Amino acid sequence: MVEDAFARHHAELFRYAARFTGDGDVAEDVVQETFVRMAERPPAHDTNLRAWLYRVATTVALDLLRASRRRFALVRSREHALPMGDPPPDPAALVEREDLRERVRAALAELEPRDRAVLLMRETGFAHREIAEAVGTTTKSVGTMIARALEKLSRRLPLDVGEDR
Amino acid sequence: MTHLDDADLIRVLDGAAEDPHVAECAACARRRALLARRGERLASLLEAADGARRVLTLAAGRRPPAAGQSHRSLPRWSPARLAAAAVVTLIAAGGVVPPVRAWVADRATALWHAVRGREAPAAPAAAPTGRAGSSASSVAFVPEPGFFTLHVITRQAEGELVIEPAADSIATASVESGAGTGEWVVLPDGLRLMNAADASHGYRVRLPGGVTRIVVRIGTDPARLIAPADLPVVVSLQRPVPR
Repeated sequence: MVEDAFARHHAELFRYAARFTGDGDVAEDVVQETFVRMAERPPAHDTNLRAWLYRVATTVALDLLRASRRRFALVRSREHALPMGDPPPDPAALVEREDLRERVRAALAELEPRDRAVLLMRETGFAHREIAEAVGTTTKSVGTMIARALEKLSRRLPLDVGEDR
Repeated sequence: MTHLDDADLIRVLDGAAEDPHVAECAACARRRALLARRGERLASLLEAADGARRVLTLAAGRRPPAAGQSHRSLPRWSPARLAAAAVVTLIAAGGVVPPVRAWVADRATALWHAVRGREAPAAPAAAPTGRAGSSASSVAFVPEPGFFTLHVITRQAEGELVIEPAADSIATASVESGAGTGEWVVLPDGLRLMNAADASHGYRVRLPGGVTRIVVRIGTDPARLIAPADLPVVVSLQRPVPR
């Protein structure tokens, strides 16, 4: 069961965790602990497994945020070392992509952690009900949190390019 | 006319609610479309800003005993428990392995507390000679019931870690014969061995019955889970010899 779940979901879970924490190494830890937890206390058979995994990953990531501000200070200090994927063809592209990464990461970091989790889960296609269960809020509040997060991000990122607001 | 706010429009947009007003109101329809485009642009930005993909694989947490490891350390768990123990560590392939950093231990500690569903506890109660944060070649303290993490900073030139059951409620750890750097640090949920790669010490840890699971981490190796019923266990700390 765990092996199947891992094969099916670990990539998207890692991406979610990396976006949420802003750090690939921390995201690895989040994914690892999520599957350790699944191995130790598997969800009931009738559970929506994907939603359950995101819920656990969100809990682990949120606990990490609460657990140590020092760690995140360290993460910030080594941002230049974050993996960038395949080398871009030229330095200008590298700078451009790093700038984009930094802007997106900084904008996401300004969101309240739960708003960030809600927004990122929405991006992966979860229903409001599932998101509400994952972050421990009401279904109705999810819409409010998404709207708040999008509004805040729109002031930091080019989400309204060409729009007449 | 009362228009829908952004939260309501998001609910309609995502199918979490229905409101016929949106279809009838040009202003709300425009706003809904704007919110939809924001979501699409955010998705594009996130995609473009994602870091490298990492290939993660499951690694077995239990491996055949290394040289110097006693047969007694072989697991005696049920198949279900073994299956669970097999999922311990993810290894990042493709050269994206994070360097060893001291703060990784802190992170691991926090994570283990996180998956245990509670905040990190205060220092162990009634610590006779050791408390969280203290370090020495020999420490004794009363650990919290539950998981116990043994984090060895690095593999070394030679040496073994012996983990035994304690006769009472006090956990002890000591540095035995050998040479080099080796010091125990008491953590809120376990111990960290601050050793050096060139050390040749042996180490002995005794754990009381309240410990329900022992997590042994050596450097960046996959973590290993040990059941108290399997104690005593001898874990080789020796670096693998290159062939």
